[in-house]
Amino acid sequence: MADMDNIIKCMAKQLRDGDIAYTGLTSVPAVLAIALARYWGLSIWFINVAEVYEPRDITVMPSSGDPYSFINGRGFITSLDAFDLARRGQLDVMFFSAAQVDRHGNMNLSVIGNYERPRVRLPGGAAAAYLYRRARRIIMWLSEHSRRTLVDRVDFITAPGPTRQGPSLTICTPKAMFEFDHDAGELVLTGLFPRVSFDDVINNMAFKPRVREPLNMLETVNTEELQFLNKLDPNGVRYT
Amino acid sequence: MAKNKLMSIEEALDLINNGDEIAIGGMSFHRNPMAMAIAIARSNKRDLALVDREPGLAFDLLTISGRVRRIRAAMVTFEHFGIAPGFRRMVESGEVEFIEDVCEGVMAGLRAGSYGFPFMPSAIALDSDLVPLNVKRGIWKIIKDPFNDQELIAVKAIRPDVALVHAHRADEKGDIEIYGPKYEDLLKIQAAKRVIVTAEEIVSEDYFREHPELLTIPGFMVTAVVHSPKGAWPTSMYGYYRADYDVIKKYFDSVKAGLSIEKVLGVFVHG
Repeated sequence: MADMDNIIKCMAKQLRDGDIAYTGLTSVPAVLAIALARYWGLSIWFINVAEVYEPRDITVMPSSGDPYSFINGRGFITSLDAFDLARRGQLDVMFFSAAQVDRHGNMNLSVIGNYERPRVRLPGGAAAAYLYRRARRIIMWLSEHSRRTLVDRVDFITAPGPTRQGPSLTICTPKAMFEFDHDAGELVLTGLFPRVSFDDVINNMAFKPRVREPLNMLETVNTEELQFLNKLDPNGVRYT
Repeated sequence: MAKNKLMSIEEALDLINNGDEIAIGGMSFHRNPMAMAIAIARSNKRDLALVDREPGLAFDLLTISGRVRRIRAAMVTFEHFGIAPGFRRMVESGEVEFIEDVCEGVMAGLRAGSYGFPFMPSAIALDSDLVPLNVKRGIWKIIKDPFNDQELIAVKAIRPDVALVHAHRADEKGDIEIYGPKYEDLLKIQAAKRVIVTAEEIVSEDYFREHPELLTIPGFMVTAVVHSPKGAWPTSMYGYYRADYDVIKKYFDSVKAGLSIEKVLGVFVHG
C-alpha cells in the first residue's frame, strides 16, 4: 500500500452514482479512481481522452490516452464532444493534477520560475484554463504534499481557481484533503489520513489553510481494493 | 475522372514549403504521422511551424529536428515518462518559440478554420495568465457577447498550410477511412490548405462502394495519399498495432541525454 493508492481512494470517494466523468492525458490515477468507484458498485458514465466510450475493462498503460487501455467500449466519443458537454454545463467531473496550487485554488502547469526564462518548462495546462472552471466538480490529486506544490502564490496562473459560482474543487494529497470554500474564496483543510498529524500537514505547505473542524479521518485502501488496483495496473504505473 | 493522388513520401514532401504551418494528426503516442515526421526531420525544410492540441512523439521529434521555428499546443507531454524531452530542451533554450494554448483554444481555432469563420468564441477563463500573452500574440481577443455584453475570448481561425494525418485505409482518389479515435483530425483536414494522408492500406474504390459507412473524409479534401504500412509506429494504430513503449522510452532517453538528431533518428530504424 502506497500513498498513491490512498489518493486514488480519496478521489474515488468524491464520485457519485450517475456522474458523467472525463479523464485526460497523464491521468492514470484518475482512470483508476473511476475504476475503483465502479468496483464499489457506482454507475459512472465514463468518457476519456482516448475517446473510448464506456470501456468494460481497463488495463493501465504508460499513456492514459491509449485506446488499447480501454477495453470493450460501447463506441467512440471525441474529446470535442466531451468538451462541448462541459461548455453546456453537463460534465459532472473532471480530474486534474498540477505542479503548484495556491490558497485560492489557482493552478500552474506552465512554468516554474519566470515565464519567459523558466527554470522548468512544464508541459502546459491542456484543458485546464477552460475545464477547471467549466466542469461541475473538479477532483484534483497532488502526488506530493510539500511547500513546493502547495504554494502561497503560483508562479503562473495556468487556470484560475473557482469563483463563488463554482465549480466545486476537492484536492487529495498523500497527507490530507482540501475543499474549496466558495464564500471565503480559499482552500479549506477538511480531512487527514490516519497517522498523519495536523502539524505534519501544515508544516509541509507554504500557506496556512483554513480548517474545518472536526477534521475527517480519510480512509486508506483495504486489501481487496489494493488487489483490484494491482490487477488493473500490475506494473505500478500509478506510482511514478 | 479524378486524378490519382497516390504518391511516394518524397513527392509528398515536395508539397511542404519552408515556413509552412503544419497541423499534426493523432495525439500523445497514438496514430501520429510518424513516417512523414521522420521524412521531414531528415529533409532540409526550414522555419516550419507546428500546431496541435495534445501532441506527443511526432511533434516532439519535429521540434528537435532543426526544421521547426515555432510550435503551438495546449500540452506537450510524454505522460508516464515525463515532460516531452525535445519540447523542454528547445523551449527552455529559446531555440523554438512556444505558443502555449489551451485545448479549448486549439479546438476553437481549428473549428473556425474548418467552418470558414474568421474566429470562434470560446469558454477560456478570462483570468488565466495565458490571456494577456495570447492577446499580445494576436491569436486571442477579448470580445463582448453581442447579445448580453458578457466578455469572452475569441480565438482567431487556424488555417494550417498543411495537415499530416495517418489513416487506416485510403483509395487512390483520396477517400479516407479512420477507425476509432478521431481527435481533431477532421477539423485539421478541413481547415488546412493541403492535406497529406499516409495510410496503412491502399484499397480499391470498391472498398468504399461496398462499405460506404466507413468513409471518414472524401477524396476531394485530400491532396496526397502515401502508402505507409506501420506509418504510425512506434505510436499506436488502433485496430492494427499497439504503441511500442520500449522504443518511445528509448527516444525519450536519447533526447534527454542530449544526443544529436541523427542519433535520435536512429531509434526509428526498424530492427
